[in-house]
Amino acid sequence: MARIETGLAAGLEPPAGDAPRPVASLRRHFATISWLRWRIFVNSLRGKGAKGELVAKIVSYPILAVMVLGPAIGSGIGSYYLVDKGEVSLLSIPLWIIFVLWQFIGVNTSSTGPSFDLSSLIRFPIRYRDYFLIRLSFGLMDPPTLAGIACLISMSLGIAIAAPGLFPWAAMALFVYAVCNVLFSRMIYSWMERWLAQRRTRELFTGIILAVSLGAQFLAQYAQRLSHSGNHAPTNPWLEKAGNALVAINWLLPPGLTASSIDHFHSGDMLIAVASLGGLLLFTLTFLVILHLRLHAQFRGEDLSEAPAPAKAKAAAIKTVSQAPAAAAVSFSFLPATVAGCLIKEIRYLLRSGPKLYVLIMPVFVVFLFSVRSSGMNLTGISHHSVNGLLFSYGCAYTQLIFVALIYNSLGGDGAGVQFYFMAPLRMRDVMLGKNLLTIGIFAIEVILIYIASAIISTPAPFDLAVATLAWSLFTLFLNMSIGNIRSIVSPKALDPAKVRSQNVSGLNSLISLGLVAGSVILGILMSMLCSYLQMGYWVAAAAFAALTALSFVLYITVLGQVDGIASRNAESLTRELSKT
Amino acid sequence: MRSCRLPIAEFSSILIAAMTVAISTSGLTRRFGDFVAVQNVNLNVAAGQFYGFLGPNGAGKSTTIKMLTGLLAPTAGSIQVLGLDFATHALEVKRQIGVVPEGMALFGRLTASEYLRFVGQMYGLDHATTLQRSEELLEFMNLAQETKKLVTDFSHGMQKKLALAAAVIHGPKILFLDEPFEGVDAVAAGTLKQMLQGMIARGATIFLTSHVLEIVERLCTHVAIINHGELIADGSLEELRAGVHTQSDSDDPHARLTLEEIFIRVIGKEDGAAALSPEQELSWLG
Repeated sequence: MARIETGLAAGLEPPAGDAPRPVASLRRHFATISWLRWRIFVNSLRGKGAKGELVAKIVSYPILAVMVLGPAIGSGIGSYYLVDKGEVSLLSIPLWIIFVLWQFIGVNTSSTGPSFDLSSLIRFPIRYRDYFLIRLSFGLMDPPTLAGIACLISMSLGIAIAAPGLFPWAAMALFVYAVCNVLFSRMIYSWMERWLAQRRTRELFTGIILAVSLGAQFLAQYAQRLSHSGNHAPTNPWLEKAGNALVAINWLLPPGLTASSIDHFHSGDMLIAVASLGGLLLFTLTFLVILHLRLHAQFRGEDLSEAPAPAKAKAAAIKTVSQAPAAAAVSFSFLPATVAGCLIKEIRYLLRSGPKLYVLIMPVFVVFLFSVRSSGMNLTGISHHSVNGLLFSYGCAYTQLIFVALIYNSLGGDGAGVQFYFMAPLRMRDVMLGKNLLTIGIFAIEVILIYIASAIISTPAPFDLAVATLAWSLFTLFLNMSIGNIRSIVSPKALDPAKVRSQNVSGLNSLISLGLVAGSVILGILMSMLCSYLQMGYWVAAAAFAALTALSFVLYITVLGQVDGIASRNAESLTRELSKT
Repeated sequence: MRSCRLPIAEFSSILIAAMTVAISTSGLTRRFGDFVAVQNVNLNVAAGQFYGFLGPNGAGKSTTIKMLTGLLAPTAGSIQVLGLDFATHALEVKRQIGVVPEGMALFGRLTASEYLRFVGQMYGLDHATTLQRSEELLEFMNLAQETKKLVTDFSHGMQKKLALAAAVIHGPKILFLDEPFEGVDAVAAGTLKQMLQGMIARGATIFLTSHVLEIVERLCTHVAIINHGELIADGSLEELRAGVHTQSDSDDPHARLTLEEIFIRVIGKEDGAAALSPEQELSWLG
């Protein structure tokens, strides 16, 4: 009553129904956000080429299911085996694998649909508790989390079958472990958002993640090589020390604590079982508190990620324009001006995109990985020499696989700038040619580096095999560029050049490109088998692929000639899609 | 007192330009499915005019400008730019025009000077000319000190200035500007206006859309108003004033309608009795 009286005293007649509205319930918020996400998904199917995208999504679900179910079945069987054999403490191994999959697999996953930034919810009258729960809950259906939860359920089942009495405790410990992982990933990503909001920090951070990822792979392979350095050789002392230290640390971290809790419960040592579970809960609580600190700061509108970079002293920045980087001096004067201009622009973009550069150093790195990995292949009966002889071919095949991302969405990095191509007096074929020339140039450099790397690590690839591989690569490259140029115009997606995770990609483009590369690889294998059967070396394959290269080149030129017409017909959808912010 | 006299050569070039039609459209129409965004628009913009193209949100301004600059194909009708049919002479027309489109169409991962060099090269300028012009433009736009900053890190106003610099680097005869002053501070707006007026003085034609009617009134010599995709008014400011003149205006000898008043009268008349009575007007608010 007092409130109304005050209002009347102030001369403010409250309109009908002006009673203070209660803040919407959590259930209502969840329902609204679920509806919103559903509508975003449905509306994403309304645009041009949406039917193809839907088909691609439907086709990709079984693949995703296999990706989720495969590790899950493996975890279940592994857990059953370990518990059945009494090696319960070794459950920490699958738990570590699940942890790594859960936390890091997301870095390389792309989103095939538009997303909704949950942090934007703070502008609505929403309670912090609800905001926190919403931030925590949405995203539980992403592939890494689904895979992680499926693996843990499967582990519980494996343990239950091996030792039914252990099931309740194991299920509880694994449940806490699942919560711990969910909170850890949310905590990490919420803090990463804070750093990744600024371009320079984002690129630096991406570089660090990629370097760590590459380094970890290399160390793992190197360690494997050391451990297999001889069937009867003693274990490398460095490895032994490092291994012991890692095992000791393992028992203090969530996967080790979970395994320890289950192990000690199994052996009847309740005190340590409870203490280990308590340790796991402590980690979970710590992650929860750190996540809360970040989300609460966001909720109060104090998102540190929005802070502008400190301004530099103007005096330090003042330089004349002619002091621009040396890259500008490259003119490619032998090319038509528009093609050369596009090529220079593409080179600049490439040099400023960490993720793209990462993609480009990968083939050479993969050659090293293949070589190290092949050291263990003697055990499987595969000749080490025959594997090493194929290093060049492996590297080239891998290059084709990673090139599809560049070729099938070549306009994606231009964003809204793509409008310029339609305003300026130039032909789209020149633009695409500039982009394709860069691809061909990178491919040439990759091939040389892969050849040198494989020659240094092992022996140079036999000449006939090298020629056949090169012919196969060119055939695949021109085929990919022919189709990729069309798909880049017909089904583009705006790319953030500094982003590695969750780039929006066309599902249909991915499916087409992967299908094409897979088909080409199968053709290469068949041709290789034919050559082996006929005992004629690889010259037959080289000749066949040279002929196919000529055909795919003709196709490429034909498609390039059609590019202006295709671009003209798709100008509207192309500029609209790439101008989306 | 400043002299108003122009050199004879400059005067004659302006006179010749004024007699030429820079842009003309005939029955220009654009449909998106069943929705007609622009319908039967007939424009005639004389060379040397500073032409303001106005309309409420969603009236068809950007769609029209996109069609005039080759970003969007018309469903029907024709476009003539400097006497050339856009449909058949697209490349020649594009060489003569400069555009600052709605989204600015910048390449965010280049520096300002790299971007201008790229644009210069695309318009067929030689390297030395591109370099010289880009340096001059960056100096003029007060962007010369930002040598290492990528365009994506520029403020909105800086991006607008750069977009304008890129639109004029090849010395276009016609400049199309879609909301060039949106989100631009007063100092930057002053720089842009100074440049545009300089271009007009040299005989260029400027076709501009803007929601800032004061700027349009101050800069433009001719104004067209589009609503629901149809051209509903076209002429000099005086002609438009005369068109919406009422008896009450005559009663006030000092009355001189502003462009905003003209705009509201023209659009209001077009939209009929759209206004709600006080009882109907969002009575639940406050």
